Amino acid sequence: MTARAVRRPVATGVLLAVAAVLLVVSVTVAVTIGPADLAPLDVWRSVADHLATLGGSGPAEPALGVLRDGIVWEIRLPRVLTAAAVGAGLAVAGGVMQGLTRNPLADPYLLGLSSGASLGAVAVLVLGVGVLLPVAAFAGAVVAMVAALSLAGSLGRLTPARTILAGLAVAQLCAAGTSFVIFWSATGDSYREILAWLMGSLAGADWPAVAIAGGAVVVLGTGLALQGRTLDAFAFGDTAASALGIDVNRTRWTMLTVVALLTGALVAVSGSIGFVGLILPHAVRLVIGAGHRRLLPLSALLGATFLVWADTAARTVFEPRELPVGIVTAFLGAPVFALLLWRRRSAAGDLA
Amino acid sequence: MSLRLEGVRWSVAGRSILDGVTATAPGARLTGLLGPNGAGKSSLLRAVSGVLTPDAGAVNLDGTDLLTLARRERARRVALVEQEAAATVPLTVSEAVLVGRTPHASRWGGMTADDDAAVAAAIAEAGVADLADRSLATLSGGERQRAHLARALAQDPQLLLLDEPTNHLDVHARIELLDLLGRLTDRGVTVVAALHDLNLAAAACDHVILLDAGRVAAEGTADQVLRPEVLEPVYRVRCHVLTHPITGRPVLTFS
Repeated sequence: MTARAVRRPVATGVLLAVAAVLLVVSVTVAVTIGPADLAPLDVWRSVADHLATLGGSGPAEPALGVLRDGIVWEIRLPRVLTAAAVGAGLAVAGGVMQGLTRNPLADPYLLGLSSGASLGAVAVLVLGVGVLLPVAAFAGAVVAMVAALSLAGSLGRLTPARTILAGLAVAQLCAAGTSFVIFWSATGDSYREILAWLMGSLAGADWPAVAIAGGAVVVLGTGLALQGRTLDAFAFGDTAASALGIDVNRTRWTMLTVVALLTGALVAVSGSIGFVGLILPHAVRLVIGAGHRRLLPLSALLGATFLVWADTAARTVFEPRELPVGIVTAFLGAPVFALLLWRRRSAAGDLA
Repeated sequence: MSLRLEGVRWSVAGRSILDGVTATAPGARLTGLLGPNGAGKSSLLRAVSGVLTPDAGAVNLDGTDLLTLARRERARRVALVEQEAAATVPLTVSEAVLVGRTPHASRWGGMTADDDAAVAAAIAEAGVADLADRSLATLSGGERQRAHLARALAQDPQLLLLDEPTNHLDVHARIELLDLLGRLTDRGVTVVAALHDLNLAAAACDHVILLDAGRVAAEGTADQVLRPEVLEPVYRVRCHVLTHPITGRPVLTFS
C-alpha cells in the first residue's frame, strides 16, 4: 500500500518531465520550420545572443546575421511562444471548467467569453483604435462573464446547467452583436482582419503578446493548476464538497472568475481558438485518469505543444497562404473529439 | 464525543423540514436515525455536517457548537457519506480517499506525509486496499460504498454520518459494513446512520432516534423504540416484534 501511495507521484513526475521536454523540443523545432534555412541550434544561439544583450554584454553583430536572427527573434519565436502560452492556458481553463461544472463538454468558451472578447475587439477594429485591441477584448470577456454568471445566479442557485445555458445565451447575443458590427461597417481590409481574428490567429503575435498570454498563464494558470485537490472534491458533488469544508459557491465563483480573466487575456492575443480547452483535458484524462492534481499540469504542457504544432501547420501547409489557427484546431479537434465520444460510449457499454 | 441536537429547525420555501429536533447520539456508539421517507433524516444529517444551515437550534459535538465552527474546522471533526454517493466520479479509489484529506490540507498544498499515512490507514480500515488503483466507476455497489467510507475515514472524523449506507448492498456486504462500523465505535468514533431497514437498526444500533415529519417521535435503545405502539402510528403499518433466538434482540415483521 505504501508502495502504491509512493508510485503515483513518481509516475506523475516522469510524465510531467517528458511533457516538458516535448514542449521545449517542439518550440525549438517549430521556430526552424518555414521559409528560411535554420537549425535547432540556431534558435538557441539567437536566444543566447539576445539574453546576453539584455544583460548588457551582447555581441554587436548577431551570430546568425541580422536577417536570420530577426526571423528567429522578432517573428517566429514570439509567435511560437504565444502559441505555447495560449495552448497551455486554454487547456488549463478547459480542465478547470469541466471539473467545476462536472460537465465534460465545458470549455473556456462556455461562458460566452470568446464571443464577448470578439465583440469588444471587433468594435475597436471597426472604430480604428487598434492599440486598444487587447484591452477591449479583455473587457468584453469580463463583461460577458459577469453577464453570464449574473444571469445564471439570478435564476437561483448557480447550478452547472444554469451556468451553461446562461453562457450560451450571452454567447449568442455577443455573436449577433459581432455580426451586426461587421455587417454594418466592414470594408475590404478590416473585414479580413476581423474574420481572421474571430477564427483565431497567431499571425500578429509579438513580444507584448508573449508577455500578456505568458503572464496570464504563469500567474492565473499556475494558480488554477494548484487547485487540483479542491477540484477533486468538486467531483463528488456540491454536498460532498461542502461536507469536506469547502465553501462551494464562493470557491466556484472565485475560480470561474479567474478562468474568465485567463481566457480574456488569451483571447486578446489570439482570437477565438476553439477545441484546445475541450480536447486536451479529455485526451489526458483518458490516459492518466481524472485526478486534477495530475490532469491540470499535464494538460497545460500538452496543450502548449498541441497549439505550437497546430499553428506551425496553419502557417506552413498552404504556404505562402496562411490559415487561421482556429481552423486547424477545429479540423484536428472535432474528429478527435468525436472519436473520444465514441470510445467513451463503447466503454460505458462494456461496463453496463 | 456525544452529539447533542437542540431544537434544530430548517424550512425550505415555507415548508418545515426539520421542526425542532432535540436528540442525543451517545459518544462512541452507533446511533440509528429512523423514520419514513420525508421524515427529515437526510436533512438532519446535512444540518449536522454543515451542508445546510439550520434556521434555529444548536448542534453540539462534545460541547463544541458545530454551527459556529469554521467550515474546515467542522469538516475535520464531522464526515458525511451521502446516500447514493456519486457513482460516476472518474477518480481512482486512492485519489478519492485523498479527497477526504481536503479539510486537513493547506489551501495550495500538495501531498504531505500525514496525508499519505491517513490515506493508507483509511484504505486499510475500510478494506479497499485491493481496489486502490481501480476507478470508482468500475466498482460494485458494496465496493463503492466502502471506498466512500474510506474517503470519510481519511477526514479522521470524531463523528461519522452515513445516509442510507446499506442501500443496494447484499446481505454479506451489509454485515461487513456493520462490522466495520462496530470497529469504528470501538475506537471511539461516534456514528450516526440514517437507516430504512428497521431490523438492521434493531440488530446493530446501540441507540435509536425515530423521526416523523421533522420531529423526534421517539428516542432510546432499540428495545425502547422498536415497539409496535411506537412504530405503527409513524409508519402506518401493523407491526409485530419477535425476539431473535440467538442474540435476543428484537426482530420486526410488518403487515
